[in-house]
Amino acid sequence: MARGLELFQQSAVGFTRQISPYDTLVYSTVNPGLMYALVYLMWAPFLYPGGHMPWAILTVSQMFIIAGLYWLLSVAMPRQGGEYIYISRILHPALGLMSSFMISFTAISWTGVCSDWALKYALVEFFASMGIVSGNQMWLQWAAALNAPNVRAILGTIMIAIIWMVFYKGSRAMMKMSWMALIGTGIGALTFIVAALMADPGTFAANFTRLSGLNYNDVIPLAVQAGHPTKFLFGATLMAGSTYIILNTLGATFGANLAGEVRSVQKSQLLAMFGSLALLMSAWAIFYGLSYKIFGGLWTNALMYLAGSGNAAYPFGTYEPFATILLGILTQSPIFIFLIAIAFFMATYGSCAGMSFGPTRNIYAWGFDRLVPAKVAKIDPKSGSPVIASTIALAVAELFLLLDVFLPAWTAYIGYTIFTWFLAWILLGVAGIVFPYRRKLLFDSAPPVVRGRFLGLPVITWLGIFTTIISVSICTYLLIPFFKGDMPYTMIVMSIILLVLPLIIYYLSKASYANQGINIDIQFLEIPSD
Amino acid sequence: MKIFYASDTHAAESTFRKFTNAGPFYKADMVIYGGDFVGKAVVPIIKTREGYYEATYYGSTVKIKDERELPDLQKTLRDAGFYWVILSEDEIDRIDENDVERITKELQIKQMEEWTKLMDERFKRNGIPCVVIPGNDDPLYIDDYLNKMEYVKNGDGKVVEINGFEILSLSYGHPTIFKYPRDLSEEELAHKIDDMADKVKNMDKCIFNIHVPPRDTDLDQDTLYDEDLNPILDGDSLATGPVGSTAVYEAIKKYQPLLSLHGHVHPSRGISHIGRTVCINPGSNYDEIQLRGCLIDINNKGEVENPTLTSG
Repeated sequence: MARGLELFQQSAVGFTRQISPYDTLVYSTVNPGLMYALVYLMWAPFLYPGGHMPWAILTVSQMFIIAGLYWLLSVAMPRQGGEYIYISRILHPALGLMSSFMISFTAISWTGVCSDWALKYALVEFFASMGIVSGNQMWLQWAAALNAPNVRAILGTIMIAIIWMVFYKGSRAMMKMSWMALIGTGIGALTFIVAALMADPGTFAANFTRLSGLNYNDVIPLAVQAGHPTKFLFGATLMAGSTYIILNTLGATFGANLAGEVRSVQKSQLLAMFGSLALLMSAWAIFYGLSYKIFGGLWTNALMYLAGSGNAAYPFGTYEPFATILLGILTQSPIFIFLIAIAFFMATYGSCAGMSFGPTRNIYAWGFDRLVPAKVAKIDPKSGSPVIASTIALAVAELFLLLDVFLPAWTAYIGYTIFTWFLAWILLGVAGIVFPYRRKLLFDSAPPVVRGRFLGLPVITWLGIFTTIISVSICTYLLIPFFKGDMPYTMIVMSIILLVLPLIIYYLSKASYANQGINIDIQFLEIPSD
Repeated sequence: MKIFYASDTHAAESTFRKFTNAGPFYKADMVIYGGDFVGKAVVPIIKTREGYYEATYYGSTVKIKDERELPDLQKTLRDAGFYWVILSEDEIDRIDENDVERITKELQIKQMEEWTKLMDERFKRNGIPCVVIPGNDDPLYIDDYLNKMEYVKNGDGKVVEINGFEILSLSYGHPTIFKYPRDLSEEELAHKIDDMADKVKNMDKCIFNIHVPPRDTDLDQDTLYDEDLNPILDGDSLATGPVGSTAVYEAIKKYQPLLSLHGHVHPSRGISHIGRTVCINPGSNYDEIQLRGCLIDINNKGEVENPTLTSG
């Protein structure tokens, strides 16, 4: 660089540097949580029979496009972050609130649902696995006792109350939860790898036959008899990956908020965001690759199909074929069962807190903009945290915990969350498409990287087009098991509630403020410059 | 009585022009500007030996082969709050610190001449009184241009009376990591505010227009930086904390004016209360051609009513 250029840069007053690519990489990778791979390994092969899970990881490449759109929008509108601002400013405040509400409450609902997962898959399945492997009925009695809805509801409520205290204490306490999730994930991945290296598929087959009472070799024929395909299918692989694997990479877009900070358009930041997707793909390749290697690819899918369809031949009753059971059968070691259970609990509980932490800030912002009652934006003077927003978020999380425990059809396969999230991203895609035209001044003044063109159209428009196509496709993929009857109607009802509710809130709020002589839309009106 | 307040346009041309139109747009009876006119950087547009132009900003380099595209680039830079200067490759190689300082000063002064003229014209035409101050980013030499305005008042260091309200204004700030031209110690800042507060006749009708916000409120939360100006991370997010002034906080607490208006901390957009005083920082998105401001109604009883943060 010419010395003169350096001198001009040094003389710049109050300019700051950028976040390191490493920090962005970690931030984007840990959200929402790698260990959920073990849950979706049970569900995706049932909902999309014939889906090859390791190959399905490649569908994550679609996220590169969506992450790219987030990145460019965050560079054009730095320091704000999030679809609420992008869509409010490009399309309409009501649509901004709608998309933000859908994504925020989807994430908040995960806090409730995943608290129950932590209990079901870590605690209950730990005891069930111990019972299955040891044959000791006492373990199974404990599993049954802990699996009782009332017990899960009480324990889950305590977990959510602890999360409320973490939020009250602020971001430092939240950081500790994130570290707990990260350490749990590390333990889980390591346990999986060591177990795979210690035993061979033949041992697993023999152990399975002996401990489950169902012949290992009968699993595939039974599943085929029940309607499972005899081979892997491309379409099912695409749909399984585009829904349940992509679901776990949504955090890659969170890094855009850091990358956009002070408009530091550094290529390394972009690489960090895309690097996180590569890391996620690698981690999932370990979980799915090793599962297929140890248990058998088509066999794993067949067992999940039997479990999901409630087939009478499925040998573990009400207990889902979670990793604790399968690795327990493989190793016959309580240590491995314990390690997987504790790792899943740590990773899940840590991410439960993380998933609502960001949305509390969104709720706070809506209060600030008077799109919801202004009291929501109240900050607790002692802790400096948005205590009302946190309480609302965790009250909703509690509601979803209770739904998952007592009315599981409403949260089945968390289909509504994927459906709702991608409905919201359709709006984001449309905002990307029209950004250069509806907000021409802002687009023209954006950093050069935002204004790039390809085949005569702005790159951001292309990214918006592809984001819309991908989001519409994923919503369509979810409708397939819905129309087959494998996904309950509640998925659609829940998504519609999350879609319509913010519009009702917006117009009620608008009418209420209008009665006080305040036009809430005035805060978004564009002043002419000339 | 309706007041519109904004601050921190930092040389962003279209955002500033929006400010000059904000009064009639929001039907305000009075407009107040809370400081920071100048931009943060000069972007050299280098004419290369091969005949094309090259400019590096926001970490990216733009190359222009057709001279007719230069005005677009220059407008983009101006709207983003950058000054620009065209230099040849030979000139940029020869340049030293004094040249950079001289060029920056010339560009700041040129813009201030244009902007003060524009403000005076537009506010006078619309008949809306306007009080402005520089901010702690602004070098002292821009005061001469603010003082030359005939209709718009430079209120810095004074108590100005408009429509029965007393506006106490101060451009200076407390010490910052960025070492701005008007940084003072907290003691000096407190002293300056006390001197002006002594001249206020009625605090019930007094509006503080002080560039830096009170410390440890909703109005002064910003990303924290280390000594090398790198953002500090707190776990998986940016570390934030209070960066406002304790002297300003204590002054508001002590004098309890009707209203206290602040800028400086761009991300910390908010409304807060210190005792009975309503304190506001509308934040700033100057480089996004978006004027962040606040509309404040003062009712017949002299109470602040419905302050509304705006993004125009």
